[in-house]
Amino acid sequence: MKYPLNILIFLVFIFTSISCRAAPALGESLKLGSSAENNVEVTITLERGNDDRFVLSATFTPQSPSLHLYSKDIPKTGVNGLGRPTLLELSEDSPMRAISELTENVSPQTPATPPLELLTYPAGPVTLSFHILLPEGDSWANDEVIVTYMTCDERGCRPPVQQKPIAIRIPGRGLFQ
Amino acid sequence: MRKKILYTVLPLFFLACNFLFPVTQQDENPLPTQSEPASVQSTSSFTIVRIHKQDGELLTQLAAEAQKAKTLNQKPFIEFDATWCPPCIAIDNSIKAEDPLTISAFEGVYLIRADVDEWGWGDGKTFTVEAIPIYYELENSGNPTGAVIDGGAWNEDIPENFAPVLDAFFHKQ
Repeated sequence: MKYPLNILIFLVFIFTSISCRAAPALGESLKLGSSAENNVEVTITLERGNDDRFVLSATFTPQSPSLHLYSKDIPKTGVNGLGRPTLLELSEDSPMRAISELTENVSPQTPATPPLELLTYPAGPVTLSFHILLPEGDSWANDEVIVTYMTCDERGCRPPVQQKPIAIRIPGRGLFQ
Repeated sequence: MRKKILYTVLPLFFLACNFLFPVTQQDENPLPTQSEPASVQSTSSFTIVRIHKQDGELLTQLAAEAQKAKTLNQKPFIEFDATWCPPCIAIDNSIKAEDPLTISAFEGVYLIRADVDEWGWGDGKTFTVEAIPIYYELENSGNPTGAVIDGGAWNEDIPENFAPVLDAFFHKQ
């Protein structure tokens, strides 16, 4: 009888630990979800800024150092069909709300050959972010974000990933008060 | 009285206008007058065809195209490409612009194009496609010889870079 009780206590401890996942403190970054497809790993994080606003970010990390991504500002269907933008979007029914434009942590470059509007980021990882409003409440909720990207390098281009949902768990605003 | 004159003159005025300034109707989206053989682009020195999945198995189509290449005394290759692939389009634009370096590189080539959005990224056996554009040399039977080249063989996608490399690949003995 002693062992089942121990197991029960252990399970309750584990369950409690998982349920009471800590909300990020000021300046801390919390990983909400991730995905890897077509040579790129995407990590979704939430950060609490100094002004008590929250920043949702997606870091796109190509799995080969030579691969580059395309600018978030090229059309969704590419420039004359070429390339695909790097994008982070909220799902239509997301309880989060974007309150700023999408920003990038690296500047895009103009290509050496036409079409010159086909802006690319330098080879390597790129982080896109925007400020968001978290939903009311003091619990965690299931949600998803939508990502789009495509990579190329000297060898050629990899298949684009378009409008891919990534499952995430988001904290309610009440968890920070 | 004045009304009567007006009713008589007005229709005459419109008739005169139509006669003097006839309106020609233009169709904004004219239909092609004949079916275009869009999948075949042929010059005196090389041929480009595009194969489609609906027309049969890949290896069967390659065998048939390789036979056509043989009758034209051209060397068959397959290229996997896509409409969203900048290097693929750069090479294609260079051909369309009849860039002398590119035209010279493709001389004697029978290029069979397969879009990865239609065909997928190879079957993992005969063709393993990781990046595009990629070119495989084919035997007269349509099977790959094992010789393959992709964009990694040159740098920036300009004719001065890719044309000499493709030329050497297409025309090696």
